[in-house]
Amino acid sequence: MDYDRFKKEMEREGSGDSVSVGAGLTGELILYSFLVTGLFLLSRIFGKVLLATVGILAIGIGLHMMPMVFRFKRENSNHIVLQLFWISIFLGAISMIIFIAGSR
Amino acid sequence: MNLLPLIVVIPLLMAIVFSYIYRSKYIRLLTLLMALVLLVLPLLGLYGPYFFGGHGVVYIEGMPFVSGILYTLNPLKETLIFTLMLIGVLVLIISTREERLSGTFTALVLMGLASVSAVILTEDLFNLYVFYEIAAITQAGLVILAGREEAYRSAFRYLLVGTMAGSILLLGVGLLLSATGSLNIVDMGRYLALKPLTPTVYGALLMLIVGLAYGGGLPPFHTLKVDLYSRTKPFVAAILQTYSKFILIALMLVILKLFGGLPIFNTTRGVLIALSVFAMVFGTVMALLQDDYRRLLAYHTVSQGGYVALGLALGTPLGIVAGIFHGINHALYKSALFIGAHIVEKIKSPYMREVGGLLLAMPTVTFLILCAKLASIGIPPFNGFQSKLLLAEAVMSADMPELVILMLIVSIGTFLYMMKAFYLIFLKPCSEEQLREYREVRISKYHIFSLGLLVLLCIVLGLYPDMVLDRLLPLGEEIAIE
Repeated sequence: MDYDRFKKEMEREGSGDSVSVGAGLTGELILYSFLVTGLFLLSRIFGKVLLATVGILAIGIGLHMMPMVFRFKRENSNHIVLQLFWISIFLGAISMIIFIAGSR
Repeated sequence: MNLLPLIVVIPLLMAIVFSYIYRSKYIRLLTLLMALVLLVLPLLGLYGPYFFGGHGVVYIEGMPFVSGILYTLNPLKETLIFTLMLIGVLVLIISTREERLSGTFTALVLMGLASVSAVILTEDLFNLYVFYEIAAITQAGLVILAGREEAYRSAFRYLLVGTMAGSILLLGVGLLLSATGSLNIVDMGRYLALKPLTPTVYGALLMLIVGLAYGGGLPPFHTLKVDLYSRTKPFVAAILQTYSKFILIALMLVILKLFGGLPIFNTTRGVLIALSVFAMVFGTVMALLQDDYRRLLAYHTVSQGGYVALGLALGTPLGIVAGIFHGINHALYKSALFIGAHIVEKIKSPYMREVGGLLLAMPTVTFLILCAKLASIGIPPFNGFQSKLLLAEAVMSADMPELVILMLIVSIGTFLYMMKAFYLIFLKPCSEEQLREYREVRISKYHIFSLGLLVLLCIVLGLYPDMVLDRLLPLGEEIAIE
């Protein structure tokens, strides 16, 4: 991902000055660091090859999708449909985790 | 004589009185008097239990059970209530300088203070649910009072999702009642530790986590909270975020007390840590992309909520103490920042690019806001530094160094967007005409006093953290998971 492309995306969003582009890039790096450190933590705790593979896949997809920050911003909008979608995903995910933990 | 219930009863009664006299011409004076009363309230209770309606402990087959509703006070709860009341007092004082103040505003703030105090004090799960719901309605009401269409929409959305999340929480309480036969949190915890776990209990745990995420503003409910904080007047957001933060702390402690000793807690801990990390990262990334100062601060609140939840989710004595300490610190510096944002909005606009050069117009306020920003980033000698350091220690001792790295990265992000906002609002050059325009706006001494007091507290707690930590440590040891 190059700076100019990122700047163009920021301009399309309505804030293309250097302060905003710097902030946006930092956001992008934080998202990416989150993926990498999350992978490290999970693979160290669970120590499973599959988990590491899925993690590397996630990083790969992250790299491919860069810049992620704009998609991330759209998903974090205050649109009620998106909010309800993510709430349903959340409910499904924690139900699954607790079900698996309980059935062990 | 133990007057503990008065901490809840007085604000609740006065809320009713204020809603009756909402058009009185003495409303400003009465609000100021009420603010003084609120400061005394945390001193009314005695440490220990308070049984309502003559109930007490009954023995069934030699086992002690609590009948009726029980409130308890300890140094931890006292500190939380004192912080809550202090911020409530400052918000009420500022409100007396607002043009359109009605008794309804004071009534809603009082109702919120009463409900959050009850959530902190109660040991009864159904009582907690009732006040949790009142707090949610109060928050929506305070946003509606902003009187803008966007505010109505946000409040409506918050209540719409709240109907679902509140029902889920109530169902969780019902499931726990059916599984344990009690509503007292300690009795329930003891029962759950003795009996084998059933799907009912797992379901209840799941539902409590949903209630926690909604009440505390953790993902995926964070966007609703952000909307609430950013659509109301910023000084109102100061008390709204304090309500959320203390409800988060209270519910996390309930989950620890109920499920902390159970084998499933390891998985629960993982879920709670994941939610906390999501909140930290999502809040920071979104704050970096904001042009509206109110939304930037609102996302920062989500991010800091993640730190608080992370400490508590660790379940270790140090983690619990660090989480609660950060919650208190955050309530202080974030309230200062919201009051600062209110001043900025009054002078010009909440949009950072439309302001600039405020340093020349109001150097004292600029200095105070800078201090609050440094506290929020975690720079010594402010309180944010002490609690973040403690949190990092707690995470390291829980053998999760990756999370410390992530905390540092998030702190760098926080530094960046706080300094971006500071540059755009206070340092960016502005024209002479704009400067004259700024100087024409009169900022009340009440605003500056509130801001100054909060910043002073940030410095005092940064220099002498033991003032609070000594009160939290024994209870952290007691609640912590072995």
